[in-house]
Amino acid sequence: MREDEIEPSLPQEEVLRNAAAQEDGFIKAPRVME
Amino acid sequence: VSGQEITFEPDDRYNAFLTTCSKAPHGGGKLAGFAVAVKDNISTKGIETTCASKILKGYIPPYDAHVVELLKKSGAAIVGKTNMDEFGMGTTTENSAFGPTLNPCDTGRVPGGSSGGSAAAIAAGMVRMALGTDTGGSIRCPAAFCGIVGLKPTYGRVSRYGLIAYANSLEQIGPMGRTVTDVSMLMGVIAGHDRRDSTSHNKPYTHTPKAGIKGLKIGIPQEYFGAGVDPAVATVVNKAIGRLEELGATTVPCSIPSMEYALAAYYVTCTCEASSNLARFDGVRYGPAADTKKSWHEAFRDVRRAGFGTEVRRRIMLGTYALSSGYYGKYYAKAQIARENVKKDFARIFADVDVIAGPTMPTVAFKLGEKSDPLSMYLSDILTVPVNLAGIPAISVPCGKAHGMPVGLQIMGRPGEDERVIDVAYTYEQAVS
Repeated sequence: MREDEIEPSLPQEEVLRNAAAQEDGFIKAPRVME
Repeated sequence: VSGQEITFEPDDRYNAFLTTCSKAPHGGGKLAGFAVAVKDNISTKGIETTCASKILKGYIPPYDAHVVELLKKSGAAIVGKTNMDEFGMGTTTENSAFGPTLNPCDTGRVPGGSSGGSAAAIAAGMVRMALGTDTGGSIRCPAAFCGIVGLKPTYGRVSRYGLIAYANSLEQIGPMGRTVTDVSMLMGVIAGHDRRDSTSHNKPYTHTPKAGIKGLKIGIPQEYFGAGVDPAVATVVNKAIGRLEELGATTVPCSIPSMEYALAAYYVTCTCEASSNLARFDGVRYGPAADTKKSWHEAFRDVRRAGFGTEVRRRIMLGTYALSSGYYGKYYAKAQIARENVKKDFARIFADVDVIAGPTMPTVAFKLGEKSDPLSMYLSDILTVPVNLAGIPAISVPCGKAHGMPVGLQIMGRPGEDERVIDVAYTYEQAVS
């Protein structure tokens, strides 16, 4: 297998910009487990 | 030449735009300073992109679609995002969460869909050219209804990277414009390989339209002039085909028997793909907030019930049902067999003829509100969906009027022969203009 190649990705603040609920730099989601 | 901008403040009485950019920057290049509109399901960095859905209201893409990167490199000024049927699901642009677009030829009628905003913006003279997307006719239908030109490229010639997916195996981004020359020029900018779309072909478009169709063999499928096609539309299209014969082409009758199942195969395939693609709209990463205090199931349901329109919910439900355990073979698998038969029919006909011609739409533009039941709306896609099922190129070019409204002549070509359908349309356009 070939070596992994790191490619450009979006900065964290841009990824979070469209998320309505956030906490500590993460996207906040509803509970999955009861 | 960088750092220039154009001012764009149109009188949008047709509701063609969802977003306009009053100062649109542009650089130099082939399309330097041309005002180009982009359908609102194509991602534009920093410009709101909603797919005409409440569920994406306020969404600002952090990146450009491949075609938008190419537009910018060509010097085009992106002046706004055009109205559409929500997520591309419709034939009239009435399924927009932000109100219908009106047809500039008659404001009591629809512009067609789903790229109705792009077509109306061109027909009204607000922009010179625009991008649309075509999943089952969504470029060609509004082109026909508004009296402009629209090309559905061969599947794979234009990258779908950054297109908000509805039905991946069917849809293509394509150029729309007032003339075949403009459509060809825009195609030259957007076509080509992109490794971020795994279905992308390495086949750039470098063509300049050429008039001349001497010796061209045109297939005329009987199904395109049969039941359900308005005789007034058929008459106008037949006259246009007669014109192509005068210009040196010969016509051959042919038949696409698989069309009997094409519409069913199309609607099963596109709803199945939609049910999977649209699962991403959960109010977590983008869109209106999901209530994080609720359970996932409740929060997901509430956000989607509030955010999706009726037609989108209908198609998600139909697709989810068709893919459900025990029904997959009965619907999806069968639809793929029907799809293969459509491909085989086209391949058989194209062994003998160079292009196939017929009407783009079975009627002229509907009156606003006329198509109130979904099934009769679906039926109006019968002449456009076979092209998407087969992945072949097709263009709609204006060819006259019926009932005072524009009629489109549809030219379909072999896979990869976008240049040829452009040339046939160009030859016709030059002869009649």
